Amino acid sequence: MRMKVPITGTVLEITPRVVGDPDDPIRMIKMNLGDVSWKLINLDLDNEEMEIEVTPTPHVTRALGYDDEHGFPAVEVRTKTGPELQTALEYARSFSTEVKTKAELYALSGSPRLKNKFKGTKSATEKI
Amino acid sequence: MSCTVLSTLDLSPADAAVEEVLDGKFFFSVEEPIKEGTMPTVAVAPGSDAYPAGYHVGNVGGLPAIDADLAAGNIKDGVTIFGTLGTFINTLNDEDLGIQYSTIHTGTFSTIYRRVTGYDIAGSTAVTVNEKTATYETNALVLAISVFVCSAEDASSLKLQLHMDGVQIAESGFISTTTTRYTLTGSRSMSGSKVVETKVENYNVAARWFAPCAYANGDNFDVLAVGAVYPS
Repeated sequence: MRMKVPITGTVLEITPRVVGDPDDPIRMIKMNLGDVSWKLINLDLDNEEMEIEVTPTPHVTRALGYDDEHGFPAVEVRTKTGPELQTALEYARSFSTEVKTKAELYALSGSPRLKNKFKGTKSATEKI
Repeated sequence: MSCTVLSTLDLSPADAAVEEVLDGKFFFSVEEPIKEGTMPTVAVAPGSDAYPAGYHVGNVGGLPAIDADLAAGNIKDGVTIFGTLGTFINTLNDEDLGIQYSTIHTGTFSTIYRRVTGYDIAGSTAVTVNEKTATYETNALVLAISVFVCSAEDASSLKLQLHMDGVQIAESGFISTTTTRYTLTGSRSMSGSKVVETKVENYNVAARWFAPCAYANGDNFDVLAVGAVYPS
């Protein structure tokens, strides 16, 4: 599932390509999307957002409360059901700019707005 | 006698100039003397992109007969040059690839623990747990693979991230409480000395333990491999 989320961080360079501050990288606002992973698809500094491809974690691990024969905590791993996968995606999507406004998401996350000294003078998007 | 014939003809339509007549050929014009053309005989050559003015003999074999390199296999797939449709699809040679790895160790497996700072809602940033700095040629396409074998204090707090040149590229699902392998991949165009990092983000308001697996000598088990494809 693809969705758009606001970004934070500091932009150091835009041309010839986008460079973020290693001490304050350009990244998704601090938003816990739940048990999903994601990859960056498109970075849009002009609109202070990134498009990401979200994938739910395929397995559930449950501790069984005792150690196995090797001394490690015994666990049960099972594949998530279809409804569980759908629920994970829907939860993540609730934090997208399609569902909430950017202002709401920044306020919810506590993350500062993107620091982009080039805003209004240079335009930058980067398709990954 | 021929002069007598010429004198009886209207020669005014004969408007050729010497540069319009082939070198080595002769013609009469209204006024004597006989004139020799100066137009050079020229040809396109395989070693030059010049297209000289003058008389071209031509070649029934077309341009490919002049330069055998003008062939479908030498032209990018889908591009037509002088009527030849290219079929070449670029593939990588070993010398196109520059690959570097963080140190890979061998030894006895064990686990180390690292405290990850609690979630400071206003300004927390992820903790770097592996990084690789390398120098790339201009406009290199850099590919990164981060493989981490680790566990976390609880199952809904910590996530791994991949950052390339100050931009977050990917994020994992929650790190499990049991030792699990996580793989993050990404690619970006980069030039010069750049850093690729694996980080751990804590989404809990409290500090949480992060436990990367390691060998008995304390070296981490995790691998951050970066490779670059350089434009030719």
